[in-house]
Formats: sequence, structure tokens, C-alpha cells
Amino acid sequence: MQTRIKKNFDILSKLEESTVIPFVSGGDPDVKQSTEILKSFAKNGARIIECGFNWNAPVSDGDPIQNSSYRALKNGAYIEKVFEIIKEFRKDYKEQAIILMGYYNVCLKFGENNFLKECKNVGVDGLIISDLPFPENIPFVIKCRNIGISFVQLIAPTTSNERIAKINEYADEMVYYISMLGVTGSALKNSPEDIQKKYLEIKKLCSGNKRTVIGFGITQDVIKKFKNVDGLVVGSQICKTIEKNIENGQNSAVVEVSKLYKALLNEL
Amino acid sequence: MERQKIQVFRMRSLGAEVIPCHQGSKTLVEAVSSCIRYYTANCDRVHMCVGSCVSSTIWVKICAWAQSIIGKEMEEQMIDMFGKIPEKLSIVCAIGGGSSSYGTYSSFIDKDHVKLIGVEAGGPEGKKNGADSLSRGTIGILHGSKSLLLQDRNGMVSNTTSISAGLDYPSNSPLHSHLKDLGRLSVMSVSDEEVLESFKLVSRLTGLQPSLEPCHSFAATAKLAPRLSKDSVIATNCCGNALKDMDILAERLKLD
Repeated sequence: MQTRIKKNFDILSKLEESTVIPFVSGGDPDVKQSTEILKSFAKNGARIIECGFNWNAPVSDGDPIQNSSYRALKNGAYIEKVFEIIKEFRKDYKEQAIILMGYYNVCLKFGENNFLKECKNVGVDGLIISDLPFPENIPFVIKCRNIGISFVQLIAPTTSNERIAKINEYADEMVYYISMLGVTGSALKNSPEDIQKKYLEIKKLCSGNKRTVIGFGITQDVIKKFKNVDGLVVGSQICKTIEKNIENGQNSAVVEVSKLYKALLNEL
Repeated sequence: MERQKIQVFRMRSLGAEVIPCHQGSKTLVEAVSSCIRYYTANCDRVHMCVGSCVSSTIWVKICAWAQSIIGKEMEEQMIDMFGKIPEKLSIVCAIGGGSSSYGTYSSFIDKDHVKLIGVEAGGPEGKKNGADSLSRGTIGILHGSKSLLLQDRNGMVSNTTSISAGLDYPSNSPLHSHLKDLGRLSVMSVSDEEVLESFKLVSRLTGLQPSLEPCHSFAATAKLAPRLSKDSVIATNCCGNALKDMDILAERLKLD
């Protein structure tokens, strides 16, 4: 498969650079500002961007992303709105990869085939479905492959090497390493050295030049401690920044998130 | 926690730490989500137990197995009372997450002549916002299992209402959805108002003070009984005591 995810990682490899993958819930703090936030990531140098499609029972998220999803849902940012946001983003930015992240019930209700078709239409490159684990996800992974969308498999600290090897068969261009046992928004539990040790094992086990990104517990303070990794995902810190700036009115969430993302990239 | 004050007191007196859940709807669905989050973060040093046949496969199985003692006892009691499993037998149980009902059914599922009837929390009369997911739900995924789920057109889990905290869950066990799918389990729902009436009736006639959950099955039993022949037997499981529901009962029945 050759989506924008692979193209962007290939560019990063050539430049010998790592990247910070920012996450924002589609529709937080509102549809317009959230579209602006996505655009600001791209403008400031993001190559791969994660956008949440919201659900109201998000079991793998801690408070910051939960609250962010609830705010977005309050604004009516259901899946169709999130597709519109991506469509709007794509009018200005065609090169960056977009990964949608959310929970399976939303795809199921929308209809798996319709969901994937709509993803393709609006320019989504990959999917992270946090409550659709391997091997239950195999039929869906095959559907994703058939339509040319990357399914991002998740690997946890408790995933055995044997299981990683099996997951690898159904992994596409990118796998996601969850740095710790926990939900999003928790403080980093394991030392960056330990995380990187497991990261290297995953890289070895996932053949075919798959890129591995690390997420959960990644904030501005810890980015520096990771050396030579394919990518780091920052979500909760961005959601918290939005939350803090809602009251400050006009576009202040966009401005502050944009500043934060620049600062995150500077830490690399 | 206010609604379950007595249960909280019992758990604390046995040494448990009870953590309130402040997220979202603040009902059972959020409590289960919070447990899953806690377990995710601590699965290297704790075990998880769910007192309902919900969540992913292994927890559904553990709960169903643990609760199967109810069916075994019921079968024994029936043999003591009738000398055998009655020919015309209906088993009526309240279903929320489905632990006590599955436990009760478990000894009878393979006895084809036994009718299994589930009773769901219909919520306030005429409102259609009860927790009767087997009756009104559509296929969905919540807490790691696929079953009938109360959800809107966007796949959002519905906010449900029930006089009984224990039944106030927008889905049910995948075991029950499967049994319903097979045609093995028939389902009905009763309203909060019917439940209150049944509490009064059962209290006066038997001296039992059933909690609001089994009052659902008593309400359904009272509805079903007149339609059955004289040699039919209805068995139900009184799975709780009204002590925990005292405040709600006193308020709703004006017994303060």
C-alpha cells in the first residue's frame, strides 16, 4: 500500500527526521476552529495528523480526550461533520496524511463499507480503531486494504513478541506502540529508555519497513528523551490547551494550539 | 453512589475502597467504562471482576459461571417441591446487564420445554427512554462485546432512565442477545410505575420486600399469570432486598 502515510514517512527518512503527530478531536472546540487547528498543524510542518471521530463511551481515553470528545459532540460533531472537516482541510492541504481515530461502534452504525468509502472520498489515509483489537479486526483490515486505507494496529507493553509477529501480518504502513498500561492523558509510566527498547523490538519484528509511532503519555517535557524514533503522538496536551483557551474567545484555541505544536516540533 | 448508598456502605464495611465516577452520564455505563480504564492501567497487578455479564468475553464468562449457582439452586428447589422439573414451566427474570438472569437460566437453557422470559426496565411510562435494550436496541458494540444496544442514528450510546439503578444499562450481555436471536428467550418490558405497584403487591401478599430489580420480574409475572393454565409454574428469582431502594420507594410511594 502506498498512501500519504508511507510517502510522508519516506520523506522523513530521507531527511533523517522524526515527527510529532498531533491529535485533535474533530469539532473541538467547534467545527470551524477545529478545521483551523488541523490546517495550522499542516502549516507548521506536520506530515501526519490524527483527527478523532467522537463517541460517548470512549474507554481508552482519559479525561482530556474524553472531555474533548464530549465538547465536540455537544457541537453536533458526529461522524458526518468530521468527514466535512477533513474535506475542508483537504481543500488547502493535499500532501499531509490524515488518520482518523475513534471507536468501532461509530463505523458499525455508519456501515463499514459506507464508512470506508466516505473516508476515501474525503481524503483519509489511515484509521485507528482503539476498541477493535487483533484478531477480531482481520475482516475490517481486509476491507481497509481493498479500498486503500491503512489500518493502524496497536501494540501494548503486554503484547508478546509472538503476538506482534502475528499482528504484523495484518499491519500496514504504520503501527502504533502504546507506551504504557493506561489510558490517554496519563503521565508517562515507563522510562523513555525502556519504551525505546520495546520500540526497537517492534521495529525488528514488524518486517517490511513499517513505521512505528509511540503514543500515550507523550508531552512537550518528554519528547527530547526519545532519540531516532519514527514518530511521537501528542493528543491530551493539545486537548488540554483547547480546554484552557475556550473561554478566551475568538480563535485563541487555534492560536495557542498552533504555538504548542511549533514548540513540540522544536523539542525533536 | 447516592442511589446505592447501602451497597456502598456494605462494600466499605468489608474493606473496599469505593471510587465515585464523575464522567458522562454518571450511571452504570460510566462505572463500567471507569473499571475498564482502571484495569487497563493496572492489569499487571490487579484482576478485574464485573458483577454483570458485560464487557469482553472472559468477564462475561466469569460472571455467567459464578452466577450459575442461582440456576442450580432453583433446579434443586424445584425437584424438592415438585419431584421433577415441571412440564409447563416459565422462568421470569429481570435483565439489566444480565448476571442474575443468566445465572438463573443457565440450568434450564438446554431444557427446551422450559420457557425463558426476560423482563427489562421500560423506564417512566410512555417515555421510551428506558433501559430495555433487548426490546428496542440495535446491534452495537459497547465495552468490548456485540449485543443489542440502545443508540441513536450516529451510534451514540443512549442515556437511559430506570427507577432501578441495577438495570439502568443501555445494553445487555451478548449471551442474552444471542438467546433472543435464537428465539430461545422472549422479552418484555415493564414501566417504573408497574414496578412500584408490584412492590406494593408483593410486599403485602408475601411479606418479602424485593428490591426494584426483581420487582420488574414480579410485575411481569403478575401480567403473565392470568394467561397461563392452572398447571403451569412460573419461577422467578428475587435477586435483592428493598433496603437499598428505601429512599426511592419512600419518595415514590409517599411512605416517608
